[in-house]
Amino acid sequence: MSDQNTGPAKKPIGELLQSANRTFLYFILFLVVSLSLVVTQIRKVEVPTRPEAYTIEAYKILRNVPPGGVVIVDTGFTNSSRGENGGQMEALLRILMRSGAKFAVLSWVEPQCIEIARGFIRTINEERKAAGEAPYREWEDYLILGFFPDGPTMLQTVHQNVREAWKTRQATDPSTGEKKSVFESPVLRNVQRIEDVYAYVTLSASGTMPTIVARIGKQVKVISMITGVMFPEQLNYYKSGQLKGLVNGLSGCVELEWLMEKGIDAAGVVGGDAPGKPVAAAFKGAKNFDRGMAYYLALHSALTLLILAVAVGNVGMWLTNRSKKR
Amino acid sequence: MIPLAQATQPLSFWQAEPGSAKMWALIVGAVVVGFVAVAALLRTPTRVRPMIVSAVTFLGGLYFVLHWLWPTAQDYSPDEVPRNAVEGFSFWLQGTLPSVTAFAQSLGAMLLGIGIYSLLSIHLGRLLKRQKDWFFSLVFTLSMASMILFGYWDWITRLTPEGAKAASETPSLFPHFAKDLLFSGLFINMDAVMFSIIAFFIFSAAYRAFRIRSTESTILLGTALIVMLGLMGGVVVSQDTLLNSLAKPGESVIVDSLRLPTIRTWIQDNLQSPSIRAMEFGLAIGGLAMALRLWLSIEKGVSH
Repeated sequence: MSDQNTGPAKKPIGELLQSANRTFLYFILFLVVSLSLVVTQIRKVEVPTRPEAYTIEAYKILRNVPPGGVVIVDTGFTNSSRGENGGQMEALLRILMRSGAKFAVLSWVEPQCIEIARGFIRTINEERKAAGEAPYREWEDYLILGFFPDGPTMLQTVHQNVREAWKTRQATDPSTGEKKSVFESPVLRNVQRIEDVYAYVTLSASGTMPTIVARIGKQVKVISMITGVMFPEQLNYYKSGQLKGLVNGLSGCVELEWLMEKGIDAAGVVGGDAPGKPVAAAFKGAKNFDRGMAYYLALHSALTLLILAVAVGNVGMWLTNRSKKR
Repeated sequence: MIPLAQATQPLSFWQAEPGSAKMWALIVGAVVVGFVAVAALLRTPTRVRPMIVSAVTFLGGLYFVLHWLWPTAQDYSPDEVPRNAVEGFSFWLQGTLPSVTAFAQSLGAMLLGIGIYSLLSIHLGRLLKRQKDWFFSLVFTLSMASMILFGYWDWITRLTPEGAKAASETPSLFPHFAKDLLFSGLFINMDAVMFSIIAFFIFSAAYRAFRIRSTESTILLGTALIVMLGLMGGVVVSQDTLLNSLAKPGESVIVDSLRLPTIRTWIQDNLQSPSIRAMEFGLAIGGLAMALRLWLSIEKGVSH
């Protein structure tokens, strides 16, 4: 008996291309994404992007909050979507703090969202201290309104009377050490109605935005910062004018960072230098590219790998079909 | 309009200053009343219980339906005098909303408590009876207990201004360090890892399942390709630069139509968004029907 008959039969190339080992696929993805992250960190790679109209609108609103203007930050994301919402939150905080805006943080999705938001505020404050800027102070510059177990009814009351909705919420006045109503703080002192708030920004990985738009969408500019998965659903609300700005996942986060770096000139051109007051100025010389840009090359690599993998599988199927026909 | 000097709204009977004796008394009272109500409900005849649940559900739903449908004043103020019965009822609806909201917040918080009770009863039971996978229940119980212990310890030490200052200036203080280690050091990263694992499954599944076997799958694959390429800013800008060498934007309709953002926006505006809009309309109508069934206790499993 010859060895030829007992040896394992060689798989045709078409079948080989279709049957890559799962562990091998996982390893390749891990390797490519990790390398992309390392390369971005070492070489400070800046992948170019072209901001979408909805991101530009969001930036225009946020960049033009007057000093002392109040923004409500409705945080509804946990660490599972930190890759997308985390970068958006950091960019949002940088824009608000650099513009001198005041903001109040609340959540009605999960109790841990507030703790996560506190972590991001701490990080950006540390960054400001390192850059020689004054850190944002709780009570004076920002407030933590806390967690609301039933968001829809809270928002219904905000629609009717914001002071009624948050009247039991307190924060510590550092000058006296006393717990006081949040409406005594410089942040909300002048807010009598929700219309007095400049913008309401929701950061979420789920469909919480329609609940907000349905209740207070006509009274305040609502901006939504969401994950890429939720984006198509929310685009309809932007198209209908119910949302004033939209930031789409990681690519939206990079677009926001890009706009912070390049700005929008008087002619409305991103990165342009038309004379006159810019529509939304850039933050020249400040740290604008961060988490979004850090992950952007990895997103490119992962998507390219995905396209290649699908192409390889299809070529394999085509070769197999061709050999069968023969 | 509320005067500027009026910084805080007066509290209703159902509300109290956080940390005050009245607040604790209300909490204890609510828990006692809650237990009594549940005990009373358990003692009522079985055939009467669904009727009580249905009546409470109906009244709860009716309040919000009326709040939505009844004409309401635009700038309602509690000291206004109604001109007629319709306006009087409208004022009552608007005036009671904060109390109803406070009640809803309390109910929501109680649900969190019920969730914790449910988890503990399952896992402690499994642990004490040494059932299958009891070790995981032990890990869960210990993790939960330590997070609660150090979370509250940290929170209590931060309550005073001195404590808050000490916590921000000396992060190595034990309760802060322990809480940070558990939350920021372990929980945040494990949560992120759990979610990122999905990328591996998607990658493997796309490789195995995305095949051009029919016209429909070809259209799907082509669309997915364009959307994926459109998400890659580097590709979009490179393609733009290449096409700009043929014709500047606005100079040639054909060249402009080949730009990735143009194709992607066309797909989004003409195919994706209308489809999702249609689905959302369908879901909303379904949701309305389901809400009606729940409100009127027609849905089986709610009151039966």
